[in-house]
Amino acid sequence: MPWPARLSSLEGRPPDESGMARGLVGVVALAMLVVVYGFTQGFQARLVADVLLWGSIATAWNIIGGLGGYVSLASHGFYGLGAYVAGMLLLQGAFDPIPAIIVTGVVAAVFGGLVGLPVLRLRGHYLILGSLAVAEALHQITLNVRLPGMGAGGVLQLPLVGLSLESFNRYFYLLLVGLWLVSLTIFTLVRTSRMGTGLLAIRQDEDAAAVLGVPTTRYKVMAFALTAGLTAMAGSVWGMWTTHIEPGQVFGLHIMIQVLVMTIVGGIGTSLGPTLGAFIVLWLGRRAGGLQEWSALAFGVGVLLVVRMAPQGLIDVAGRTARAALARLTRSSG
Amino acid sequence: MRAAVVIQTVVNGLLLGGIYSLVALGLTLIFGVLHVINLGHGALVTLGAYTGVVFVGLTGLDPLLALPVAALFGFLIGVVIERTVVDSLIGGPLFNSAVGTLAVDMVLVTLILLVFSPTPVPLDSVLSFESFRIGPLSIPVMRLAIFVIGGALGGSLALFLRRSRLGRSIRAVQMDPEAAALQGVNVRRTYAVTFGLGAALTSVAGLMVGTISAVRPTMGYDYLLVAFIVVILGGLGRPLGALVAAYLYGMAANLSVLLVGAGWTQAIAVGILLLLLLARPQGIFKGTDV
Repeated sequence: MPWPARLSSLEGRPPDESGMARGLVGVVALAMLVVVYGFTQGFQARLVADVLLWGSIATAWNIIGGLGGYVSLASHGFYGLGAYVAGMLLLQGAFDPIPAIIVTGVVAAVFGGLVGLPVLRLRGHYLILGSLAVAEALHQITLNVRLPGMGAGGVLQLPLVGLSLESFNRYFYLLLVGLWLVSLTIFTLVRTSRMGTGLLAIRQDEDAAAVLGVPTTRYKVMAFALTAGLTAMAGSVWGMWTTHIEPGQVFGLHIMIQVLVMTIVGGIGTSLGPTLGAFIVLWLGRRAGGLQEWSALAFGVGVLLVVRMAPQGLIDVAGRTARAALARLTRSSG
Repeated sequence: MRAAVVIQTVVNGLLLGGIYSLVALGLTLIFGVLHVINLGHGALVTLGAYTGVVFVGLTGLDPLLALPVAALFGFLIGVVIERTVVDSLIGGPLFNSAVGTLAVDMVLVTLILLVFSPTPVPLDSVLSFESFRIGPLSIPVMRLAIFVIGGALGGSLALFLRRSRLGRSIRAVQMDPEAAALQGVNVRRTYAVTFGLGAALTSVAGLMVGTISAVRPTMGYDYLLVAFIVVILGGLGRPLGALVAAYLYGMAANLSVLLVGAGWTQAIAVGILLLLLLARPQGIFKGTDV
């Protein structure tokens, strides 16, 4: 047996995402949303919009990766797919943004299901490579095939939706809020459903799960399809907002790296961990400002530290700290 | 299509395969023995090339003379990376090894960016622009040198793994770390040495590749995907398999460019990888029974 006996991506104790940690993050997130909606032009608004966008993508990845334990590296492929499909729908002129986003999500989910059927037969390292290849294949198609509406080098230029710049930004800000809530809801629904339990079983031992009657293929393909659909919807919103879509940008591996980093920093497999991770990563990135290289360096070292010292993510650290503090408090007062 | 063009394409493909083989040898060792997916492999390639740049800057000598330096430096860096990061990832969750090695990549590439600039640097050897002719064929000397070095290193690596004491303990650890430990093999040291050797080979590859193309901080990414294709095609931990796979892949890539155009090179690479994974994940040669 050349492989380690266990290939699943998560072992040991599940992360401690106590109700308190979840509540805390939720309240802070909602408060920020309300505050920021008042002034949707400035620095904070951009930060929150980015947190919502990346939080959605990371939450979507968390369905196949966190619950199912399948380390799929195809999110940048789905993201770019979404940007392109929605962009082309808009350019045809037959769709408004919201229907275009929904259609894109459905198209990408179907695509994810069809691709997932063969690709999810791979496990472990091979799945990592196979999913990377899926994303790169999509990238190469946009580079080499002239699709309707494409300019030179596969660039899509979209019209501005809406009237003034301010209403335009506000519109997309609200779309991102909606997207984030949809992602979070779907994740939570999956996790608390029979399918979620099945995915957790797959994560621990897929063969044993199959023997016990878990429909493993159906669950993982469904999870992959949901990840694909939600990620593509995020890509579609971003594409319509920036109106300029380039293959190298929307299919870049840096997107996937960001998602992985955010998920591990926040807490893999938890519902609000990825959003927390997105916030931490983006906020630190903004703070570093102009010092690009140094911040990237600190970032890499930080990720290594999290992987080594807190592999369950910071939401787990927060949860345990909060619980310990509460225990100390009740002990001293009682 | 004239026969000479086809023959030239096949020869070019073989020479390209020589480059790929050199880049993949270190990875087949690391991936095959440690079972950690090293997404930071590209950074090791880049590191080797910049070792050459520094060597030439300091001494003014030909970059080819930097080969031992690149190997030694690569080995040391490899051991450090293994001790500090990779060791904790072995046998652990796959997700952590993907993120951990990506972070190593990020740190290394950023360090290179901080020390050098993003602008490409030439790393020309006296042989870089030489070529000779055999009948209608034109053969660049440097590419031939890379082909030969790749073959020689692949052959010696295979011999080393089969015949030497250290090589045998590496293979023992690859098959079953626990059983190897029971037989008195120092497993942790073997892991460190294996990663070091892999990094040394990759560093040499980077230096050689640098002499035929410009040296950039992101040059390693050009070889990451191909290296994995070759390693899987050849079978994990099999240097000779990697050589044959690299030659086949190089020829396939060049012939396909002849047929459908240069824009599709990467697309074809991806297609081959997907088909390969789905049809025969154990490689085209005998399974991974090393």
